[in-house]
Amino acid sequence: MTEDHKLIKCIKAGDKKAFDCLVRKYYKNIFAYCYRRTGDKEIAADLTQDVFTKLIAAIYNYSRTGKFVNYLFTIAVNTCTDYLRKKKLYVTEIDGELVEAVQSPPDEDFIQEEENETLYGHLLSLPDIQKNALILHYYHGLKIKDISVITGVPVSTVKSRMKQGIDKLRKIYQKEGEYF
Amino acid sequence: MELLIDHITKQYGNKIAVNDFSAVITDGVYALLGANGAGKTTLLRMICDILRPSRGEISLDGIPIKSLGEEYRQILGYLPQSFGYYPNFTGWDFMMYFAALKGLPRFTAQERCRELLELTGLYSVRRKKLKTYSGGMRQRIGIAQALINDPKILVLDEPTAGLDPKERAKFRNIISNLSADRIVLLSTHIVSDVEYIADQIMIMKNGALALQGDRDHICDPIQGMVWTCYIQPEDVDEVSAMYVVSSLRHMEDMVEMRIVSQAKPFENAIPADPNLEDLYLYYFREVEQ
Amino acid sequence: MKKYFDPVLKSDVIPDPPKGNIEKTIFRGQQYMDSHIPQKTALSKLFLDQLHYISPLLWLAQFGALILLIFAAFTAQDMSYETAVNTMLLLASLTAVFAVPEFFKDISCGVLEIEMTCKNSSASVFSMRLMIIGFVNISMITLFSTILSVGWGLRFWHVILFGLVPVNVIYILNFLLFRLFRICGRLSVLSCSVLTTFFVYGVSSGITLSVQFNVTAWSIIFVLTSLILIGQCIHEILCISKRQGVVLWNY
Repeated sequence: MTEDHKLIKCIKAGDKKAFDCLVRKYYKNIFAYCYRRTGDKEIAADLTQDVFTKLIAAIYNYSRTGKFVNYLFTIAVNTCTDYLRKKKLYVTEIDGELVEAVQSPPDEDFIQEEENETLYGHLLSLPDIQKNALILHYYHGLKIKDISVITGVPVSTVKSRMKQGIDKLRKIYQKEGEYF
Repeated sequence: MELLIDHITKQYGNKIAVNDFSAVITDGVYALLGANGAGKTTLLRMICDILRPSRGEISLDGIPIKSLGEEYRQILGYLPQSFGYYPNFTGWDFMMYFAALKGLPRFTAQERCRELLELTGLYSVRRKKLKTYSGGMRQRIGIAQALINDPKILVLDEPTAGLDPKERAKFRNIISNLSADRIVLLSTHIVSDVEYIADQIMIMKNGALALQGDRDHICDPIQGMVWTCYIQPEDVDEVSAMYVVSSLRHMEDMVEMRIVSQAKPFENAIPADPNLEDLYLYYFREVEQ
Repeated sequence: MKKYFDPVLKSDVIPDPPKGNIEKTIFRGQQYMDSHIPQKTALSKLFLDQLHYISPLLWLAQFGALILLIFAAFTAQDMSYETAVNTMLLLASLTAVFAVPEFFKDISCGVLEIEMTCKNSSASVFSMRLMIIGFVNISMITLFSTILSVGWGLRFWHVILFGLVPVNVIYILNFLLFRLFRICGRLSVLSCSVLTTFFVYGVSSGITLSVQFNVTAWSIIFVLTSLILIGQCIHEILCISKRQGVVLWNY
């Protein structure tokens, strides 16, 4: 039994200290992910709290299949995606007319004050599904098959999204005279 | 939350224990007053779904409780009129056993048991065997087990039996603090236990609901019927035989009696405000007559 | 590919979360834990809880019988067939004496009324207890039969029948008597169990000594008594679930 599964067993038995340990173990990682998806510290904190609230509500039905970190990231991915979807709708309503939600992420509004000429900035400006795959892989070290489980799409789709993201980045850099 | 008791009857052969009882119970403290044999315990057992009525139905928010089953028991806490324990059980064993049966996870159970044993003043004796507990201590642990699962419906049958005045006062405080967002239904034949904490009072007589009302208005039927009288000591027996005497106090050369009577019993009788004790005695004295 | 992202990874600075947010997150989750009772209690947990609270007397009876048999194994080199049969009858009866009060302890100890209002139904609690006691009983009788058959060269199936049939009959009789005479106190339950056990032991001992052993007849009796016992157990469980039949407060 892994350490995570031992903690979960204790949490199911009502051990609050075990929950404390679990949150402290994964908080920074989940917060970092939420921040990378949204670009806003306060919103990332709220979403992280939601992730752990959803986790504790669902944990009593959690049975040991696969890695716990994948399960946690599934909740995180869905929480952030739901938030961004709502945000897109909100943004489009403010424009005065109901515009169909587009793939281009609204987090352009939240991008850090530095110029988004950097690779990081370009990465954040990618469509959400591509950005998400790249963030999970490059920033959180998750394997492609794990990302496939988390996002609920086949491995080939994950690879294709990552390739499309990288291709876009490549095009941007080719335009700017850099190559990779 | 609404518990609907709809024309409940319980019959054993020719004996009718509960007779066409109906009531609507919502959040708050409900006191079920009645003499021994009035049918209170039978009614409470039916409310707890451990006894099925011969006729009628009890439902929670529109769903019959027998259909709810486990869902109903999850929010139910019950203290029977008398209960036992497994041999060699300590106080802690007793609480943990029921915490497990009520579905509490281990750590939650430990925390909850500790809280409730502290609340009922039994934490220091938790490792002692239940057979060494006094009657009052056993009653307190019974109350504690009824609260383990933080029930939304708390049913207590004669909860203050065996408790001394200090313990009764503590019990009243516990119940008062609990009653928000909860149905508390307690049965007793000791009026003072519920007089100040019950929101609604139901008087049960011969298995039926004789009277129901809130604390402020339940005594309305006997308004103007309660008198304070001063009589000679030698007349006490005669007066007691003729009238419902709620209380009696010997003074220097007179006896002060509190009488419940429709007509003014004596010239010097002074009208008094009725209380629940007066009502209870009046109702049950009528039965005897 | 990774080398192009290295500078990005290094340049990526995640700010600290707002102060106190970790603690707030933990607190919220722990509040939820306080108020939450899991929907289903695992059967294994129910089983272990019931096992934990089985009376020590039951274990004492089981292992006491085993120790007696081991003692006999060391002291009696040559055991006649009749002695072996009697030994088996005695040991099996010993295992049943404290098992019966254990079945009915919720009634005899006055705990059933509270148990029936608990989330985990008293029917499942009763079933768990039946399974535990039944399993222990059958295991011990099988062990006795194995020792007797191996140690004294007796036929295993014959010996085990001498254990299982009387035990079945003891249980059947006790179930019947409890309900017929509404026996519910601790002392009366134990007394009834002891008397029934002695009675069944006496009768089966007499029968085995006077009547030629017929394995077919005993096998048929075993099957019949098992079916009756299973029927009685199911009836008890159904009565508890449906709040029917004769329980303490219906008396």
